Amino acid sequence: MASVTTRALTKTYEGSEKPALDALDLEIKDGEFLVLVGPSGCGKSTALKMIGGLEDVTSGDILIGEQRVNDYASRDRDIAMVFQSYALYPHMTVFDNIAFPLQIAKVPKDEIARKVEEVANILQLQALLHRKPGRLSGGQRQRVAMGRAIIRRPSVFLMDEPLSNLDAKLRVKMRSEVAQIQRTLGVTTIYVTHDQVEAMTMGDRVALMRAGVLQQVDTPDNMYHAPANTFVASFIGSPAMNLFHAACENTADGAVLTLGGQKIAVPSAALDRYPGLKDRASGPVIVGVRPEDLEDARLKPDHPTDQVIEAEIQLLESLGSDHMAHVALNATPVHDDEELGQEDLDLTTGSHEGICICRFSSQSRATRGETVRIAVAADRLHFFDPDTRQALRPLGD
Amino acid sequence: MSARPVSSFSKTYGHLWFVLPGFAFFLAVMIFPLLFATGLSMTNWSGLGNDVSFIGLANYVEILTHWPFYRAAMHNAFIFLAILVFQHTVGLYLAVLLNEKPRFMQFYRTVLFLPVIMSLVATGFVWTLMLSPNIGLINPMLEKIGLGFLAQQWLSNPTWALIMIIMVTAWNSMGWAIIIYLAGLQNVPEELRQAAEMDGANSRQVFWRVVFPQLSPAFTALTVLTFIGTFRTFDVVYVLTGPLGAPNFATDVLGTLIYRTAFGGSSFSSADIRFAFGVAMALLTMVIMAVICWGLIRILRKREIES
Amino acid sequence: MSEITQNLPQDTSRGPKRRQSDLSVLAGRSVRTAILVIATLWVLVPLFFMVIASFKSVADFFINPFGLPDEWLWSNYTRAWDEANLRLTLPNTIIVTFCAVLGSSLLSAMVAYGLSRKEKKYALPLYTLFVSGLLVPVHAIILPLFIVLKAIGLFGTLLALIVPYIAMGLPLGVLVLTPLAASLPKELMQAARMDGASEWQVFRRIVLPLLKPGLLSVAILNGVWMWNEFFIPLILAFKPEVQTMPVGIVSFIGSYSTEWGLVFASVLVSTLPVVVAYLLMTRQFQSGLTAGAVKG
Repeated sequence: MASVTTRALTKTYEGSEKPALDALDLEIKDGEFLVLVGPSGCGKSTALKMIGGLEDVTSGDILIGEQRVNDYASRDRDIAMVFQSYALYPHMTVFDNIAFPLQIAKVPKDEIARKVEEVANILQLQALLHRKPGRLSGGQRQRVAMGRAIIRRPSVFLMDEPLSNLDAKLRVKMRSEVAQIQRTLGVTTIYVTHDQVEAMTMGDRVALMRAGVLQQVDTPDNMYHAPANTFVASFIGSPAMNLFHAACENTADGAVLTLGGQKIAVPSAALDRYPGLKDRASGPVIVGVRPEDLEDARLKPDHPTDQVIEAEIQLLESLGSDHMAHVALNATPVHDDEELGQEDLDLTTGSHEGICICRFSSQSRATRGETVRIAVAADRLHFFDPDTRQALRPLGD
Repeated sequence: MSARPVSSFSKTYGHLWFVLPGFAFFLAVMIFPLLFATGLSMTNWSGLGNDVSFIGLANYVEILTHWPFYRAAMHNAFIFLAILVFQHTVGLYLAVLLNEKPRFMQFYRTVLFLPVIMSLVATGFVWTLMLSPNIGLINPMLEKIGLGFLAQQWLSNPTWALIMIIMVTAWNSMGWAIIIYLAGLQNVPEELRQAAEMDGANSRQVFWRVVFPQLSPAFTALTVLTFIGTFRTFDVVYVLTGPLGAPNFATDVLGTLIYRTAFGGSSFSSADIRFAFGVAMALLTMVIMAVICWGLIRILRKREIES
Repeated sequence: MSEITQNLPQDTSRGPKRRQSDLSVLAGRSVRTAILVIATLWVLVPLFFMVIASFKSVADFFINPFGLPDEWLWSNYTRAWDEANLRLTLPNTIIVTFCAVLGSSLLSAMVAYGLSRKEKKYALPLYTLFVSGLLVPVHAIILPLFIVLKAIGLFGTLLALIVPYIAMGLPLGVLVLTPLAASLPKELMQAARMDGASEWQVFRRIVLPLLKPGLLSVAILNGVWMWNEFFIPLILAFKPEVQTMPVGIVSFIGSYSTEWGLVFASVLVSTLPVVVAYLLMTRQFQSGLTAGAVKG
């Protein structure tokens, strides 16, 4: 068991000026499950491969335990990796695939057999041990890949999108299984994914990256409730947080937000979470509000009346448990995530009109085309600097 | 962790350890002798004794006026052209017939490819049995069916001897053409033919307009293969008409000429052995063949892209 | 298909024509079959007569050129075994071919793995160097080779053939195997390294087994060539003790030029192992030889 530390880890590929990974500082504690998440091309896989010794380090350090391993070969780092393609050896049986690390380490045959048995039991592979990988289903291959990784009890597991080749249903199942195996074994794990749901559900902590730069490392809860910038805010959570340009005005007893011509009182709870908002007298801000913090006002008769806005419902999607109401706000939306931006384009009708997604309870009787009053949970609003896009609170909070 | 860090040198060049043993063999058997031979080709060494002096490119200059070299090269060229035509007509036609999946196709295919795996020495003896003036079977056969007037001294008539060399080479190499063209034909998508048939093309038009252009990679491969094969002809001539290219050098090819010049053949006095001169011929042949090969591939590949 | 076309109105005029062409189709088919049969006979008849001839006495050749032998002389084979030195040259051929195929296949696979990482600057030049070995004329290098082999004391042993064959088998092996090795998923090698394998173990346990199909092609191509090679042993092995069969047979001819039965028996013995291997693995021989040739 060991911790993993990277210090200013940087990778610049030949023929490219922009680093694929820019000064990554991470500290992963012994036994911790850290998820590296981000859109494709953000450098998360590069970071993982460098830790695994599959990519050379341009600059910076990698430490496993106390040992700087920059120049160590993969086989000397005491790590195991699960690849996206599983990388099962096609010419070996499941047994030999799982046993391979032990065979290489010249472990006695009977001990190998015992350990493979043990691992096969954990992963329910007993019946498949004599098959070749070509005759396994995707889920079974995934298990074999896990088996090969855990049999050796390495100091560190590296997992590179191990579930992305599975169908949706199996993915949910394997998600919990992988997390549970990791908790049982207590092996330090770095898990790369582009799926924020996996990141939120599996990780002890989540590290979100973008264009080679680390955006925020924190527990899933903090990532969700205290995003460091608009990119984190829009990447974590589905549907994404609504982000709009707005104006803020500080008054004697709190602040007032003007969003698309409508005013929302900002209670002190929100100001406490974003003290930066208090410091600036008045002016433009980016405000973020999660869909679940927007409710049909008719269902919340007690809601403070100064925290309500009105908008017309353009589209209503029923999920059974909730209704997703797409309402039009006369405010400029902020897109900080290319993928989400693409999606939003289809729904945006006017150039200045932003679509805001609200999660109404299933009791809501709102209909399409109707102008509804929406209760804003204003104490849970998020505020960002419109220039730097950073959250309006001290760093490291 | 008991490991040592990996040096950046071994990171960059570590894989060369895998190349090294093969390279050592290659160096000792191919590169070094080739350089050695290049050096030798600029001397007058006969292959025996210690009488060696450097004569520069004199051997190469002499080759340019060495009549037997041109005669042998002409014979090679003649064999090449004849085999080329044979492969692209008979070979192609047989491949087309086999591609129609006749009954016993597997049998035909197996048999027609069989000579390819036989040694040229064995091939030579097989045809000695048919053509030899003593034990040959063709002549008695012709007599028996009343065509005795066609009987020939197949291997001692200058014209017929070369034709027979070509025939035997064709026998030995026909399998290549069939298998290569067959593989090409099987790669032609069925939809392409069907589309052409829908467009009203008859089977001949379908073949020449649609299928044949798809075969250009096979055409290229076969042409180059035939070129290399025929210009290296040695074994067949050696077995059928001897190292002298009998009768009277009518079947002398570059292979036998170089062999005779460098090592001496039977009934060839050792005074005529000029090793360095033979090596020069071999090297010059190699260079010319490499250039022609390169040109052939370039021209044929270009044609492939255009069609 | 024909039903559908006949139902189309504009096709009625073609009806009778079609029937006529059915007849010509039949005729065409017989012509085609005849051509295939003729080609097959052209290959098989000489082989058939050679088999017959290998049992004939010298007199039979002249009295009864294409009939069956009066008496089937198995002694042609036993005499060939001794007098044509097959008892020496057959084991020699087997040993030389076996060792050289093994050596050149293994070394080519190693070179292919070493050169499979195309991003390395040395990969392409070395690959080109190995492959251009295909063009080197044996005639030019054989005497320098002879001198080298003599200098290192291999001359007069079977190694004088095995060592050159291994090297001369490399260009084809490298040509066929390098693209194959480069196409193996990189992650398999990375996974093995993670699992603790050294580079040699990665090669031995992962790469080599996965190159098997290519290795079979290379082994067949080189094996057939080495088994049949005539010129190299003609120069490098002139004692029967180290000769291979093709040269052994040709030099036997020189001394017993009238013993035709023995000659054909020897030729058959030298050809039979390859033919049997070919008949057992027809598909692999055809695809293996073609793949190598087309790439070459």
